[in-house]
Amino acid sequence: MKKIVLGTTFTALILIGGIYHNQKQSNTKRVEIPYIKAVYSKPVSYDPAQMNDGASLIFSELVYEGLLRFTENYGIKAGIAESWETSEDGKTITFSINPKAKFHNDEKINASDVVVSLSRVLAPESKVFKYYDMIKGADEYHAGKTKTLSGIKAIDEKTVTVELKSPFPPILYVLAGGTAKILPANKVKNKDFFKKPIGAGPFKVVSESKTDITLAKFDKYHGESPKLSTLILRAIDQDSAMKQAKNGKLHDLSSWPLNGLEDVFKNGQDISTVVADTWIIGFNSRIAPLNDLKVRKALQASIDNEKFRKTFYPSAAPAYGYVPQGFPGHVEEQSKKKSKVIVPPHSEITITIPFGLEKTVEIAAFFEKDLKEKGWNIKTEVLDWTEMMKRYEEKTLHAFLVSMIVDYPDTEFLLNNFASNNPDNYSGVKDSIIDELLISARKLQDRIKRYKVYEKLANRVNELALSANLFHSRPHYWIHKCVRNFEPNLLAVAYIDYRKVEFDSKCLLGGKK
Amino acid sequence: MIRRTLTFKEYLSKKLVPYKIALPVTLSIVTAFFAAYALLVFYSENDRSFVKAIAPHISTLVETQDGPELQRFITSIADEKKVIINVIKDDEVIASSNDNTLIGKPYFVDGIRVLGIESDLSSKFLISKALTKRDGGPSAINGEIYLLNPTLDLFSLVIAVTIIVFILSFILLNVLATKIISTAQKSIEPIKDLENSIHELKKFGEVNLNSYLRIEELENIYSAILTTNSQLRVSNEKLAEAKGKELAVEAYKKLIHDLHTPVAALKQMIKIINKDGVPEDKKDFAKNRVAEIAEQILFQVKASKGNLKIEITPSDLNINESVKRATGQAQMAMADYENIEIVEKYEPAITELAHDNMMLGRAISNLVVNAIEASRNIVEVAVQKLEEGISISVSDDGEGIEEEMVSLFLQGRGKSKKKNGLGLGLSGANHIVRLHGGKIIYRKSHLGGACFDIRLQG
Repeated sequence: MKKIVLGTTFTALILIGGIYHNQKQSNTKRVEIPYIKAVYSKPVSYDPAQMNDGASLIFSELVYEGLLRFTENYGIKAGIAESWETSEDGKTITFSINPKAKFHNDEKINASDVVVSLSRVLAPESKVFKYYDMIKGADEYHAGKTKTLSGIKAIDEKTVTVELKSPFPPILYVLAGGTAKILPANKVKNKDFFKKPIGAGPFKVVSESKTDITLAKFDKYHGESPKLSTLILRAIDQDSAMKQAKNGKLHDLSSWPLNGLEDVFKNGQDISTVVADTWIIGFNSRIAPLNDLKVRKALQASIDNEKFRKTFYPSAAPAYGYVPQGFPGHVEEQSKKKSKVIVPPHSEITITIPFGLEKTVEIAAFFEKDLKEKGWNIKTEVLDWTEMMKRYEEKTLHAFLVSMIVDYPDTEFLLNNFASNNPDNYSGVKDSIIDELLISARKLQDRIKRYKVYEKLANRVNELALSANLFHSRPHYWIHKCVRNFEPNLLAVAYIDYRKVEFDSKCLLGGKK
Repeated sequence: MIRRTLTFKEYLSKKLVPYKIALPVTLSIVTAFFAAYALLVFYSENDRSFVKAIAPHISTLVETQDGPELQRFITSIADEKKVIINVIKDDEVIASSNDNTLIGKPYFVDGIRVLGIESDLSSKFLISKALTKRDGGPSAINGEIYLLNPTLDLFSLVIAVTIIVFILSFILLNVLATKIISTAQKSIEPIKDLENSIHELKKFGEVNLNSYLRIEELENIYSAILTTNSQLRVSNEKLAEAKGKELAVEAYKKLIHDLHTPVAALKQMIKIINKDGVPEDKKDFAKNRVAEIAEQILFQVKASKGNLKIEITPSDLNINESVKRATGQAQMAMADYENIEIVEKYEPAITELAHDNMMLGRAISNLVVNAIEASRNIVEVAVQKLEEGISISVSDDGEGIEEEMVSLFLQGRGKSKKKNGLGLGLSGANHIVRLHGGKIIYRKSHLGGACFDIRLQG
């Protein structure tokens, strides 16, 4: 009888163990083929302090590492920093650097690297200064009045403090973002550093060609080790990319927000989500006739955003304001107030459309036709992305089709684009109400009160008609059928965590999904 | 199919097998259902109160359009609770803890109602929901919070409980069954004792009640048997006594009948002696004849004396001597059967035992006469000392007697075809032996025929 009892018990245990073991087994073994991610252009810059476009941010997230990182859901987690704490007055944040963190050249990361790297983004030549201007001494340093930045200090080899002018919790988002990357202090000053940059991110740069940037897994990466051994960023236009993807030559078209109806989706995965962005025709108020609020309002009213959305991006959400959904200041319904119809001015308005969208030509034709019919003297031009960004920065574009992403999960970062002192202010608007509201919002510690100010701010921006808001994208990411663990990021496509992405070897070998 | 007779233990084991399997299975199935239901009720209540508790905060986050915070909040609590939380507004998902791709899409989740459980149950999830609202908040938010608790986790718990219950109940029942069998086994030991006691009864008519019976029913049976037995003994003794009297009367009648002729002859002879004119030689012959007849009468009366006796006087002691004499008498009486060899075996160490020489001798003679009549070649008379008492056995090599008939013969009810020589038959012998406090046991003799064994207790 004892034997029966023992036998039964063991059999049961073995069965349970077997089932558990089977469940644990994964069918995603490593496969040593390069993962090819198509991008609409090569990064405009490899220097985080100069980055203002998606392709650069994608590169930055893969190769560089900041003190912090974003989660998929707007949260923050550890990057190079092992831990961090905020002082009681909310003004000082102390970061402890992970002792395991290393640069791609095998050098350990020290506090001085952090000080030098974060000072660079506040240097006079930085294009991303605006995000960091809450740091103590930022303005003086940016203006070149001081040689050192008083707000960022190395306490010891592995400890850094960031001191703020006043408490501003969203600074943590900035430090998790694509421009707050840590570079080796002793190398970054070299003239040729960004020809083959060294970072501390999960992938290191191996080589670069005209179209490809080849990245390899960094074996000594301190965090979650990447599953892919090689990742290639390939610059390609959307049309060609979709053709190549169809033939299985590309694995990832996530840098284009597709609408899910494209041919390429017949074979592959359709991963769709929302991202915090608004596609707009930005109006440059520096150039006549868009310097006139009435003209801007009239043009805004003439651009049929819903017709445009339904024609080109039917799966996207309609935009009734500048702020995307899920953020304070977002407008949920079409305003019933009709602006006065004025006779369009005779002077010509040029709308610039970036080259590389699937239907660039059709989009250009749409605006030209639709607006001309409404009496506008409209011209459209299609520009290569790099050229367009150059002109964007020079503020010489008249009206232009861009996607405005929320750089950080706080409305502040979207609306401070319109601050009169923001060098990145595409609209060139100088509005005291906006400036005052921005200042008062920053002073408010109560989140809900601050959000009320953001709502006012968003209303003011909408009133000033600085853009025709086309839609909030709901991108469909095309991913090769054998790719696993691709998780969309709610903040921006640049923050997708490629450390987790891997191939399903069974699928690759067997051709089955 | 041959059905083997099972021992009590085997029988019990066989009968308990279905219970050993069926009971744990039933028990674990019942437990599984109960555990599953209890878990569902528990988790449903838990989830519902939880989702209601977070509803006001979620409502605030929705009102202030704080998408990032809403997203972070539900992700963090869902991770900790290992559930999925989706927040719906105007039938569209606005935040999801585990799947960003759901956001902005219509939401539909289907579940069924289970009696007594407030949450819905789908194939994968236990679905609890609450309206997105807070006290004093706007009533216009058309939103719901869904909390999806993976049922797989719950049911793996149920399966674990079921397996544990099965194993435990299986072990428990097996231990219990073993215990029941061994107890049952023990409990029938007194039955064996009873059986032995009954066997003893057969042999000696009287046996001590074993003190370890201890089971009321068995003791009742035993005492019933004992009572019946002692009543039978009394009846038997009475019967033997009556038989004895009857035999005495018969012997008396026979004696009277037998005396009739010699007494008549005596009367005749005395007449001759007293009659005048009878020649003297004739008178002398009559005188001699009177003496002879008187002698004969005396002999006959003397011979009948034993037959008339109905009580014993145990004044003699030497058993061997009495048996020898009785055997000799029987042999003389059966002088016609001269080809039958009579073997006598005596143990020299036989102790003395009080008995009535004449009466016991008659019983033995009877048995020996019967044996000579029945045998082919040999009759054996043996006296043995037993642990308790003495055995006097008379065996032959004849055909033997049917065992069932023996008790009838012993009671004097059977009909024998043989002529009644010296003795009184088996019933008489039995009577005499019983008067001595012994009994006659019948068995098959080692010579092939019958063996009557007189057992006397010391």
